Amino acid sequence: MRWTSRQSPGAGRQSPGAGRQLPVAGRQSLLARGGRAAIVIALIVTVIAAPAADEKHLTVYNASGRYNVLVVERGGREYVALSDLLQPLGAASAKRDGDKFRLRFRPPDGNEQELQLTAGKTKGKAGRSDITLPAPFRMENGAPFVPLSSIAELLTELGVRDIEFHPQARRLLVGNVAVRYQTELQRGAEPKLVFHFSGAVDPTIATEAGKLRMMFNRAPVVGSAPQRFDDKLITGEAFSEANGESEITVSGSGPLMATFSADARTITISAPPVMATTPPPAQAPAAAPPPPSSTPTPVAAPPAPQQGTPQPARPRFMVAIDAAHGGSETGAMLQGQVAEKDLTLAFARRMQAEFDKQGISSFLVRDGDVALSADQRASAANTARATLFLTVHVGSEGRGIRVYTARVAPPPADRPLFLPWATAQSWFLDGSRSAAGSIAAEFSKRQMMVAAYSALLPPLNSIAEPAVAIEISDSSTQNLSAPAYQQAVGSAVAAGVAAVRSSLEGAR
Amino acid sequence: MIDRGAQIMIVLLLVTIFGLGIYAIHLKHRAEVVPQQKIVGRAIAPPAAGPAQTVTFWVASDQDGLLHKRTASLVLPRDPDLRAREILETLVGLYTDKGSPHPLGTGAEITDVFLLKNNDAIVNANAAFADGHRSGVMVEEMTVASLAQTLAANTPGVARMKILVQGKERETLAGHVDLTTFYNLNQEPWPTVEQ
Repeated sequence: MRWTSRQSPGAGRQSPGAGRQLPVAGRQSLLARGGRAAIVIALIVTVIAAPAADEKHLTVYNASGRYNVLVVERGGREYVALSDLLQPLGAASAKRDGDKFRLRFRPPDGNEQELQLTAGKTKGKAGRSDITLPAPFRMENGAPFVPLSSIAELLTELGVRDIEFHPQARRLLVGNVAVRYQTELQRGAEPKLVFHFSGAVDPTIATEAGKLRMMFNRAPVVGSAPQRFDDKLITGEAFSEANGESEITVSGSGPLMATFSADARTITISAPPVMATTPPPAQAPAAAPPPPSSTPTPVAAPPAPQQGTPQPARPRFMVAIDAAHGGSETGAMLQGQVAEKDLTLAFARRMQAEFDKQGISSFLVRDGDVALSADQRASAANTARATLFLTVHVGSEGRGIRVYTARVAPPPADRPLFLPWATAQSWFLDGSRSAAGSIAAEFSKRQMMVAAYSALLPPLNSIAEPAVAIEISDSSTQNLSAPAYQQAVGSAVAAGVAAVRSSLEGAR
Repeated sequence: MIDRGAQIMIVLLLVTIFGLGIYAIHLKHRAEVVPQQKIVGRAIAPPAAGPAQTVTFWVASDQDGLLHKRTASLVLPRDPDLRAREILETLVGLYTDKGSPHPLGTGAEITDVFLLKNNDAIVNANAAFADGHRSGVMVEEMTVASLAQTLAANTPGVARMKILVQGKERETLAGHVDLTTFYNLNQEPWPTVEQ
């Protein structure tokens, strides 16, 4: 599959600026430099994080988990990249001939379907049926873009079943994954509102005067009409959704708190316990479940805290998953047709889903077709203070899995206050080798060919935490694109990391 | 009316013109191919006098992901830089030949090697070396490791190696392996097999 045209790789590398070892100088000068450096670092972090706050995205939930697709505006309409949308949903191959675009897509449990579209036109063909898009199909840098409002129809024509699309909220649920809920108000001296969910949920909880908000970043919660209750304490609940996320707001006449059942399917809202010696606080923080994975953003790092919203504490163990290449930097063109960048993202998303299953927090350094320099990737992982950095590559030379650690000199005896940018990994090599060994052992246990090496592979040397690169290789792009194979690889990686989790946490 | 003899003459002339045209196209094609063959089939031994020396090559094999030891007897220049260049150029010649265990792009060459006093080696390759290189972590790393370990095996004292392309620093070889930093020969070598 060729989603974008090939351009010269390696553009946009930034000169390393952060983390250099400072020379000994006068204290005042050092402080002044430190202050300036802090401002520069803050600016860099702000610039890196800024697009994530403003950007629109479509959140897609399927049986494997959840992923985001960047939404762009063209001619006053919202568009999404068809490649980003389809990659995790099945095996796709595409051909481009001038303005004409032809896509073959096979969902995991369906037959292959063909879609034909022409750049600048609204008419197209899906199988033998004619289709009309609400706005012209677009090709940009070789990538196909379709109007957001048309994706439900297109996916149906491509054989994807059980689609639930909420266009206003930009949420797409594929394959009956929706988590619905029923409420039960238990009246009495201590009234309680009990939410029974059809699946496990892990909302972030925030409270403000007379309200308790449950924000669902990960579970595909779908709500019903708002309810009013004739109760002194709990007066109503309402469901809302926007920009890929959903929220339930419980209204009350006093402070509220939430408690969770062990299976995370039931949440009970009630008044907080009254302390004998002190009056109840005006705003009581509610109980929260274990912190969820951070929301993926295009340029790494967990989401920035929103003002007035208590955020869960930073997870103690968090994996940064870096899908190598992206944007104009396609990586290898496998069999001359499939860009490595597309497959690395598909594998990274599978890994994230498998980490979720293992209860390990993770985030994607790149969650869309964007070009990031090696230094930006390293900055993102270092700023997020991830416990482990995994960078994913895909190749067509040979077959099997190759696990790499950085080719960097052992560290000097004394650890400086500021680690040198070019060799920061030196101080974390033991952890990296331990993680690489565990991942390799897991592949080996599952009868998958695996070998371990060290390599001069950016950005490993600049990562200030254990870091491992994984290269998944097969001469067949069909094998590499197969969801079952991607899941098997993701599962092995997650199990390998889970096995070494305690030792990495301990080393930290 | 044209008599029969003239008709036969015209037909023969047309056939001759057609045949000469085909021959001209064939000659043009040969003229284009010969310089290419000259590049591929370049001499592996320099025109140097003196006794032959045993040279060790660490040859990358895509099949097993290892560097295989091979030895050859070569007559080499006395100048250390030229000697190192000829050794690496011979190695690259192995990779560009037919049936190579680790194919490199046509026309790939090592044009210069500079052995510096601080034990660094600068290896300068032509554009075809990098532009025609296959993209992938393992294939790129094996090329660099093969050059570095061959250089180290035949040039005692070399501690680090850096590859330039057409005299300039390049970010990566073919999208993966870093060429901006030195390859440290004192660190863990790429896995090898002696055979």
